[in-house]
Amino acid sequence: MKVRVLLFGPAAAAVGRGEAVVKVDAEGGGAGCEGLRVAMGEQYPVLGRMLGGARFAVNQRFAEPGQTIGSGDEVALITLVSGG
Amino acid sequence: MSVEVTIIDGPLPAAPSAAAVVDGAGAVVVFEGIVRAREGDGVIEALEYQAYEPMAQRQMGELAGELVARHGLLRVRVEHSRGRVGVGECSFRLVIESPHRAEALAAMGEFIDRLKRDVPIWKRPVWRAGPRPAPPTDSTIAATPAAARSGHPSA
Repeated sequence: MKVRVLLFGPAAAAVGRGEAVVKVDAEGGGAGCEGLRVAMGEQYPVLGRMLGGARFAVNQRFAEPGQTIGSGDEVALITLVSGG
Repeated sequence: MSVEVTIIDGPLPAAPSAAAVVDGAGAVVVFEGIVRAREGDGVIEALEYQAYEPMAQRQMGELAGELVARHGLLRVRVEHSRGRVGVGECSFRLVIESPHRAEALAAMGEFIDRLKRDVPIWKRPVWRAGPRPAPPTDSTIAATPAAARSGHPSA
């Protein structure tokens, strides 16, 4: 399946746009976050080490361990934040 | 309303000098985050902020609500900038009102710590013209979990 991942901050700057479309293996109709992370690293190597410390948000909430992503979910890559 | 969260373009306007205090408040604690001129070894003229706004809005609201309930606060107001904020200008304001100072001070520290760890807002330095310094070490992309770092030097 293809997952559209919203990008912000340094990730968006590295890729050059505010989203990345990632091809990821889907099992049971969904993709796992760790599989998405690996796929992003392979398909967007410019993200490099940013991915290691990043979290995924699904539908505007941090993903739980083991959470799968469905085709209708809004997914965002949350790299190290720096607000406040 | 006990929680107010606002994200606005550019620097935050000055807080009113005599804002109305919620009934019952014996303490009003205010924190303002001001853009500093130095970022690591370099000099900046501004910071540019970007937010994943629906998530940032929700997280700050839920965090404030949690602290209101847990600490017995009367009101929490949060303002954060998006876009460009110049040196000396305010990009973040947190106002906590409570019956007594202890709970407001405790909640203030916790809110800021958790915002800097979890709320999806990012800042990018706009360097003053001239040779750019090497990136400061705490901007180095880390391989450690995000929860352990907040990304930039801060007050």
